[in-house]
Amino acid sequence: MDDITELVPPTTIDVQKMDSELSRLVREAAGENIHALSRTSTLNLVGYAPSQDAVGTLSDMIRAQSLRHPNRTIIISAGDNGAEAKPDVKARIDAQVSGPDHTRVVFEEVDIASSGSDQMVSLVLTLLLPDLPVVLVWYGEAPFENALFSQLEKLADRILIDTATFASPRQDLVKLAHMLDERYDISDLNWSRLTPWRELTAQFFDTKALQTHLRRLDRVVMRYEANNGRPTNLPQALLLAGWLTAQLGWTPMEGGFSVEGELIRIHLRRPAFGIGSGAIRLVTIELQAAPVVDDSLDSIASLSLQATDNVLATFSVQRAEDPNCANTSVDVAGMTPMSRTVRLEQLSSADLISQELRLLSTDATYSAALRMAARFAQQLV
Amino acid sequence: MVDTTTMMDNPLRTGLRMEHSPDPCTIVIFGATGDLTSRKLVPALYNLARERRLPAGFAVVGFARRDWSDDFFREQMLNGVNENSRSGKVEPALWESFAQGITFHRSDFTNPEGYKALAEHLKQIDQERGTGGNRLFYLATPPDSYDDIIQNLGAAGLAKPQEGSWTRIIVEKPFGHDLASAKALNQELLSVFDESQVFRIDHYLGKETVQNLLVFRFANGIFEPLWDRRTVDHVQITVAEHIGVEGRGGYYDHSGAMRDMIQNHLMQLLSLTTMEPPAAYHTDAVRDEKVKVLRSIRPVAPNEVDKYTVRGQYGPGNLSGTAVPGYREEKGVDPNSQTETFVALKLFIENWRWAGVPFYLRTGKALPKRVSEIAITFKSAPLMLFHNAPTNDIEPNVMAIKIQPDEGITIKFEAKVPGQTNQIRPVTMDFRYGTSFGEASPEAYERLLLDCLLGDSTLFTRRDEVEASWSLITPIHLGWQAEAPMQFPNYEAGSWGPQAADDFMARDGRKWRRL
Repeated sequence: MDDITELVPPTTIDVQKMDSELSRLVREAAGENIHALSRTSTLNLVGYAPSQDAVGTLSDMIRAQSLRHPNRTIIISAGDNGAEAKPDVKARIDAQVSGPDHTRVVFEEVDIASSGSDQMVSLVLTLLLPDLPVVLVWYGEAPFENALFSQLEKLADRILIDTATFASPRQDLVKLAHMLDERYDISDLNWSRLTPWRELTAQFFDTKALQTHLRRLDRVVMRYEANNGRPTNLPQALLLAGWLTAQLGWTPMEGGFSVEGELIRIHLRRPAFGIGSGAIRLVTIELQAAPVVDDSLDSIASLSLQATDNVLATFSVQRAEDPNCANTSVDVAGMTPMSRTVRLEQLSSADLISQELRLLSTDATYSAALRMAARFAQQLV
Repeated sequence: MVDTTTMMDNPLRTGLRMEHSPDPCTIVIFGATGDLTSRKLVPALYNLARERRLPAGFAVVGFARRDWSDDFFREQMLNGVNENSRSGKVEPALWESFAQGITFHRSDFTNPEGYKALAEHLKQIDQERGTGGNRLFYLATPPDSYDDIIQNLGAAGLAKPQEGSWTRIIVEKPFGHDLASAKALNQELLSVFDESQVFRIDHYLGKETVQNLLVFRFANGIFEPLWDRRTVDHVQITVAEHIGVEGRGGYYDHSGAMRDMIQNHLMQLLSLTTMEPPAAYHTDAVRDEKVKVLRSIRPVAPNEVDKYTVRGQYGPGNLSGTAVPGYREEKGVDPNSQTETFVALKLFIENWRWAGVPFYLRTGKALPKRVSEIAITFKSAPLMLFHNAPTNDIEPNVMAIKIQPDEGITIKFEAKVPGQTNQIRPVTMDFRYGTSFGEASPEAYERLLLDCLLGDSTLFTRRDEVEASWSLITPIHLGWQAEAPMQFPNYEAGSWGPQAADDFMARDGRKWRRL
């Protein structure tokens, strides 16, 4: 964020004259060099911060990726000035250098602190840029019990949340899956965190020779970080397990869920192929606790997919000592073992937001993974 | 435009963000001790590996005459990556893993035994690294060596893929230096390889540009009705370079702007701008339309070059405030060189869509800016209502598609100046997108190599495309050769080219856009 310049610090404005106020502020900031500033937007980003302290953090996250997705940002937070008090509305304008001619792209942010949710929604409506998608970034907690969320989600073309921050992940994953029944345009930063893991896992089976083992998998061992029995990001582990289950056509078995301390076992049925395809084939997913290494929200330590029946095959991804690298290995009976070190970077929240904003369409793979993860979470409630 | 068979077989690939990974494979780089390998190819491959785009089963074999060991070759490549990679110095753990797949095969290009030994080497790599029998041969050598390499690959059985595998070959530009040599090279290649195995590079455009042009034209309903001779007055395509030959005078003096830029890059831009909508968004459907429009271009006969072309060569001048020598003073350039560093062309496309619309192409070295754009100038309004107003020169509308340095679109139109009188002035609506918004673009070679490994030939030219563009260029060269020597240099470095280029437009009552 070092290359983001504050042109206009947070300044109280009259929201009734919003656009002219913003134009005035930009002109004043530019001085004679008005043509060196470029005002442009591709999105409306409406962010919710649960507290005044969180406003700054959310603002930083959004601003850090704004050059990739220029937008008008509206951040709302609960005020402490009483339900009848006038809302506190401040605008700030930043710029970031873009392109070889050093044009500065201007980002506008309006922060609204208000105690009345009706007030907030009406202000947001006034501030939205026409003809552009509205993305609601719900930060810091699950939205389900929040009345403001119910109103804002009606305005949004997309909702962006982070299941890693859910205080009650087991219950909240189930509620999030229910939300899918009503709308499919949900982005989850936790899902984006899984992208490198999913890429590396899928890559094993791009090779025709190894694809046959995909259908033979019968054991998955996932190690996820936990602190004294408390997972740092259980939804991420459940989403990864849900993804594998949904994509490979596995079905949870009745009574096939067990928890022994920090070890979670999920027993599933998998399709059988070839001779004896009428028989039942089983898969076990084991979620094992691993020590916490750092404070990153990416809490998966390793993933191992195994076929133990007949021809032994193991496909593993394990985070390396270098936090931005992982070691992958393939060990199949009768074949030369293969291993390599790959990059598995820990992405910032800004990078994750940016990734999610590139795809403003339905992610059916996420929906399927979430529904399955919610089924698993239900067993843990 | 990728075969999705493998994606369907691997259900873990399903999803919006899961881009297909290439099959395991080995790349054999002929001429691996040269500059291209260490500066461009291996840094590109390293960055692809770093971004998890390469499969686990992957290997690189350097094939050259020098007496290098595997370790020495790896060391040279490490230095190349550290100096030239867009991601900076290597991450040691990543490099160590990547470098395990790099080996060196010493042989002369003309020695058949060397290719038999290569075949054995590749089989061993298949077993040790699981590369699955897939091979990509990259000709990073001077064109003189192509014939030997191609024939020896054929003789050693390396050109034909094994059962269930693929074999491809990449050929760098320039693809021939005239129509006859391009046809000869094509015949040579196709005597050993199938057309589907041959990937002829034209990396200038990059996939973003190609796809953006096609999306702009064919995903928006409002532009196509304007995209023909009824509304378009003329089109200008400019590819301007801000630098001189930069030490490559020896190569450039045998090439010139026409071969170096017009034959490939500008012809690509012209065909993408003027082609008909393809029947489907498949590589060959798109290329079919490009070839069709290239064949519709009215050829310039050798005795017409004066009417339809302008040549230039830069003399000493200033580029961005720095004094620079003229072309003839550059290293490797004949002091009496007749090689053109600037070309302007006027072409006509003889089909129903474009009949009568002139296309002005210009390219040159040592021009004031690096800029590439396609500018469509529309016809003026049929009746000027504002002729009594105190206005000056109402200008025609222009839509400019900017390729470099900032991808974007500009539309120029007339608007009323606020006030009591009908004063009208042009204004521009300017939208920048893509790489101007903070996204780091992959290097062109990363895209090219990955596309070739995926079997996507969007960025590569087909045989008939190459021959169609040479068939337009070669007669112009013949015409130039028949003329008396030019009085070169005829433009100053840092200017927009020779006066003759401006006169060329002025004769038609037009002028070049100020960029």
